[in-house]
Amino acid sequence: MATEAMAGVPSKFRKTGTTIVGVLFEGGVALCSDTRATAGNIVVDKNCLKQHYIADNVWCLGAGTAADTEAVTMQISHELRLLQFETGRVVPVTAAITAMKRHLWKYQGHVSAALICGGVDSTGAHLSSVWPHGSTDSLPFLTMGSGCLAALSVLERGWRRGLTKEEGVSLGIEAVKAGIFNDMGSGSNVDVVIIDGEGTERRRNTVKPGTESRGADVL
Amino acid sequence: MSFSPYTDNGGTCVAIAGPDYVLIAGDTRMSDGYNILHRDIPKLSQFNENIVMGTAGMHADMIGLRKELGIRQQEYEYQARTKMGVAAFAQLLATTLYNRRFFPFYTFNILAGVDTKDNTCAIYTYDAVGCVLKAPYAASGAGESLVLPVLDAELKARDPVTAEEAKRVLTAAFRAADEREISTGDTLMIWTMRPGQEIVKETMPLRRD
Amino acid sequence: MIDLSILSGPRNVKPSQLPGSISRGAVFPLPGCKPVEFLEKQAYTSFDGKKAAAPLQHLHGTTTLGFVYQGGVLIAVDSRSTRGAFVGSQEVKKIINISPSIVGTMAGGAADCQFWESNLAVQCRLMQLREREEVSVAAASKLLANTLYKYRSMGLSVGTMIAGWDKLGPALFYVDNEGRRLKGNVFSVGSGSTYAYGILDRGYRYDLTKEEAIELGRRAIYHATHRDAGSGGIVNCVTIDEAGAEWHDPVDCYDLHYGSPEAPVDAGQSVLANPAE
Repeated sequence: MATEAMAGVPSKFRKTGTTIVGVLFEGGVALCSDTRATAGNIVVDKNCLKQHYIADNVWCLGAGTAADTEAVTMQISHELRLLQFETGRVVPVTAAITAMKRHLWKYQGHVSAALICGGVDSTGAHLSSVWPHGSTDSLPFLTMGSGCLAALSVLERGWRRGLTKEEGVSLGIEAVKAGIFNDMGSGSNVDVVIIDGEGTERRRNTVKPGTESRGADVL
Repeated sequence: MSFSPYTDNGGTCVAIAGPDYVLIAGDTRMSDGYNILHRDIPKLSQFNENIVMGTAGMHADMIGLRKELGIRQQEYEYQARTKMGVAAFAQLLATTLYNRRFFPFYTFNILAGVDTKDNTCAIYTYDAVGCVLKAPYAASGAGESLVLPVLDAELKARDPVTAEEAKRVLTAAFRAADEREISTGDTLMIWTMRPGQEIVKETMPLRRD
Repeated sequence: MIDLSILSGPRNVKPSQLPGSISRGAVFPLPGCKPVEFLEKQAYTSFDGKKAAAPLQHLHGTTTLGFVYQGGVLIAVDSRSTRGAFVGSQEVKKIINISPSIVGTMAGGAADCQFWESNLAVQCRLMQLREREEVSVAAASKLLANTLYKYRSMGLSVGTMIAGWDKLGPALFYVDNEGRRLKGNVFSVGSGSTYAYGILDRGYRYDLTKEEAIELGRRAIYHATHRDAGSGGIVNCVTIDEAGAEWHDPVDCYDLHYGSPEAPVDAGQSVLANPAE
């Protein structure tokens, strides 16, 4: 009966495979993601962008339904810009996280966005995950998406207090690579955004593990 | 959640025949949902030097099917005192699949072989319950709908191509499949059969992501 | 001795496993539930758990037709095989030889038709050896209808025409998975059958010549493939008369539509120019 009922009703949202990872290092935060977008068992985009701009000092990674993550992050980005105009200073990361969890809680899980939000403000570097129902976790390393188990094992093994920037970035990349190879919903390349006291640095397609068998000159 | 006797382990098989050769290929990934269970499980089964079967779908059913076919092949070869030919094996596969009409093997097979009577090469393609079609080329499995258009474009309405050209088409087709279909990947096994010759077995790397 | 028992029907027979009143005949291994429900529940679920067209079976969105004319009987069929919206093949042989002077057509489940019509061919050959006489079309169609009746409500999908020539002349029967068996002069079966009937009913006369009959059959199939997405590929055509079965050149629907040196665009036009008077 259960199967029949499930089979008859189309699923509410499409599960999109992803591996996203956030790593806190000394003085900053690195956000890493894969670049595969899928519909069912077909890859619809081999090199999509899963990093979303919130503010100059706050970035967000999205897993779940692409439309929802984009809509939520864009709306929060606009809210934060208004807040910035009102207060006249750099927005705190916690403001972004609070806005996200309020928005997602209001929709009781129907907006299927799972987010990792990271940034640097006057109180230091922050990293939080926001779940579709609106709960948040603030931890030194985080991962979400269908590849999270593979990525988490790498993070648990490799993370320690006092990582340098490059150590933090390469740990994040290794974690996403674990997702890319071991989770079929994740694939292709690794994108990184690094936020620290100096500013924000974006590294698009920093490694291309998916195409190792093909030679370097392909997507 | 109720019990289901079936899982889909993904993967793709392709075969192309010419006048004096037949290629059969399959990827070696075995998966379940988004998880990769193994990166080196062959989808090709050899029954004798003239008969190779490629199976996509459920791996456990492939093992069961292969076992049953092997037993019946041995029975045949003892009783008839001759090696089984592809045509006979093609019919055997059809009846074996149809025997499970109401509890099917969740397998999607293609059969490639050399007919020793007239040294021709043949491909047969099946659905899960044993409908057979003889074809010059065939594909089955998760990547079927990505691979077949490539084969149609390159091989249909053309004079028979050489084995080398066929291999080029086949690898191109598999590249299309492993780029866009998530359960196809890791390694490609390509077996080339020619009348009176040993099977040439080659591999090629595919995407591992 | 080669063991041919597999040809007589599925193995592992246990009559007690069959539902309802069916008490004899071959039986298949069954899951521990009603097979039709079982297949609907399990096999019709696709990769992401959504309900999908059965991936297990090739189904024929099909057009097949047959009619009796003064010289014999004609069968014409398309050649497309579909699985959901996916065209599995464009070169299916939908006419199956039953005996030298009897053929059967395929519509519905491809494997069901293929298996049971091959099975019918075996039954007919055995009967011929036993009775020392060519099997009549009526007998052949009855054998198939009886076989299918045994498996009624088991979810088989068969819509077939058994056509041929016997000592009484040409004959045409429609047989399906419900156990129905109808004798007639004009039949069309499959998803494109209504389109085919349209052409057929307009052009059909009993006194068609063989050439006219072939043209009419091809044209009816072509028009059906034009309007029915489930039908297509090539038109295969066979006539059966006193001399036996004669297979006519397959014609590509593409050529019938766009024209080619081998198949002029007005194929069948002459038949339709003068509807039955």
